[in-house]
Amino acid sequence: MTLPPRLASVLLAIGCVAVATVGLRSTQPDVDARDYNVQIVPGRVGQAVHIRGGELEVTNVRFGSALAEYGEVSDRTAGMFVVLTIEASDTGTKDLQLTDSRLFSHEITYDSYGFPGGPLVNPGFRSTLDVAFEVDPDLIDDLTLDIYQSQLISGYAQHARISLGITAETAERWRASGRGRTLEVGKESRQGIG
Amino acid sequence: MVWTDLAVLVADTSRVWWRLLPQISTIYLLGWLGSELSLRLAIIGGDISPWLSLVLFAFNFVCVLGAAVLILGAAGRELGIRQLIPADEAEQDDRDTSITRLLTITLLPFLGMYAAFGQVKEAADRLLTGQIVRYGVLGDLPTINGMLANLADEHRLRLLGIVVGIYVLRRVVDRLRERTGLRPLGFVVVLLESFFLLVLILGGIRVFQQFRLWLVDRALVQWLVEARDSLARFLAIFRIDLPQLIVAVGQFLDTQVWPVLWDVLTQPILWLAVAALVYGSRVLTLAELWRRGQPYARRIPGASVFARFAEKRALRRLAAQARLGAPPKGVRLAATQVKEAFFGDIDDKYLPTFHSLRLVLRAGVGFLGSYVLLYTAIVVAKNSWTSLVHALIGGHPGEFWVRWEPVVELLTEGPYEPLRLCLLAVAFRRCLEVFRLRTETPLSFPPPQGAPVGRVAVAAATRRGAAANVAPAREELAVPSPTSEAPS
Repeated sequence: MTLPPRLASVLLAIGCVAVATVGLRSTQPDVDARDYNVQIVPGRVGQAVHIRGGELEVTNVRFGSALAEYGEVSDRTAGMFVVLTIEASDTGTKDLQLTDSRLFSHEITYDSYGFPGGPLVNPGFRSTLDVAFEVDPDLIDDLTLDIYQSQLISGYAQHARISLGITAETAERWRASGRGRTLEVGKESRQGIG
Repeated sequence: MVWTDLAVLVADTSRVWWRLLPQISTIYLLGWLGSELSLRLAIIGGDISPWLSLVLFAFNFVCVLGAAVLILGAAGRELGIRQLIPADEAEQDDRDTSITRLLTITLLPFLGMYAAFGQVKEAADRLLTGQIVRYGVLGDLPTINGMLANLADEHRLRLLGIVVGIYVLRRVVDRLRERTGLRPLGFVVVLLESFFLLVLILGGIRVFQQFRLWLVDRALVQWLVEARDSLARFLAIFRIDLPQLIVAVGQFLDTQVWPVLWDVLTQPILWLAVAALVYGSRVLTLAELWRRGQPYARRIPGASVFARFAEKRALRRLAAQARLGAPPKGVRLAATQVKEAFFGDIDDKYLPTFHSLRLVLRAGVGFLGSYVLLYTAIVVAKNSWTSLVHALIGGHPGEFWVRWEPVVELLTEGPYEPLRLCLLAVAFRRCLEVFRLRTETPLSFPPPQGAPVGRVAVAAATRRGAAANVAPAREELAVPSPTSEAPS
């Protein structure tokens, strides 16, 4: 059976538009997406990543239900706290500023609990600090740290994405490790790289 | 057939682009240079006055548009678009001899396109960013956006007065240019036009935002909300969640339907319609006559909506005289002049743009489908290339991008913008061919010397498509074809 030429033309034109739509949608940047205008620098716990002329490493991950400073409980949650120990070394010539961070678990985003959300290091120095996040204990698998510097004027920027290594299988163990536990949040410490 | 159109568009676009590469690259580079320089000067000009900054900012668009128009013109010449008009009909339009006249005619639709597709906002953002870098976030020097926002917020009448004042000034200078024939005045008109449109667009956005806020507080909107809630309560009986339904439908329209309509269909078609204006009213008139199936020789000067403004004015005057007797005098004469001054623009720009769009839309679904596909292919290639360039440069702080943005833009836009403009020229030529083939059997006028690019591909493709009532190639036009006579 052959189609009338006009109908065939219409169908082919629709096909052209469909192909064009798919092509455009697959290459058009999604401004609402997490990865919009972002160069992702991937990493995992215990591994240093190079970012903005320096090095960054998540050295420890702790789960708990309360936060403490100088031995005094400062905050409690019905959910769970995650405290990450972050070490950053500025090996470049400008300040290494990564004071914004968040945690992703699939589609869920958790903002940092308090400020700063990351280190601000001067050239030639190393800084260690704890950054806390309040999370839903049921939604912690595949937790990933996104750490960056937000700016008023931004372009294609670098974000470090550190996977915390929590899988659906190991999530229950992480939850259990944090139940009823108080986490001491240390103050930022600095020292020369030497 | 779609394949024929696709083959013609691909072959002709690549050949025109390749043949004109040195010429159009140079024009594009000059346009880019002028645009970047005027943008930088606009940032610095803000030190003196935000109005000066806005004038220089307007010049940025004149540079971009000037380059686009020149490239379209060069591609049109290479394709012999103007030669499609028979010698006895080839009366000169003033846009052919004056680039400033051409710019004034095309500036409005071009800027409208730039505004509709976010390029004006993008340029305004760049200017604002530059001013923030220069003055600091807490700087006390007023920016263009700040100044226009202030006018729209607190001095709406003054803003209206400025808009009307610039419009009148532009019309006066335009008339002066028409009477004296002084070319520099043409440039002043172009600049005033660009300035006028930017004040209107940037100030108008703020007024529109305020209008929306005002509207939300009106009792009428509250009644509509109440009616919606009542309907939702009623539908709840049938377990239909109306707010949820509205959100779902809205999301579907916003994320699925609108992008297809806007980015995939509207953008290429509108650009083609606007580009067609560059080729002159004669070409459009002829195309319109071809489309209607009227022999061009029967055309009465001034009868078409695409006739020259002066012709239409003369015709209107004749018609008015015939209807009303003596020409108007005194107050009526003044009223006629004022009406002419204000509504002459509609004849000059809005109507041709509208009819150009109508014309393009009637070129046939096969042609439009293949054109849309090819246009999108260029956009897709540009998007992918931009991502690659970003990945190669790597992520950097904002200051880096402010400093290097002009170069990055040249790298990402440069290879594709001339190609896109070549496609517009080729597509318009193809449009004309489609119309001609629907209405004429023998070839009345030969293809121009050196113009027929893509012959082999076209001829081969046409042989396949001729049986299916499609436009054959230029060299086959001489052969009467019963199928090609019938309008599709």
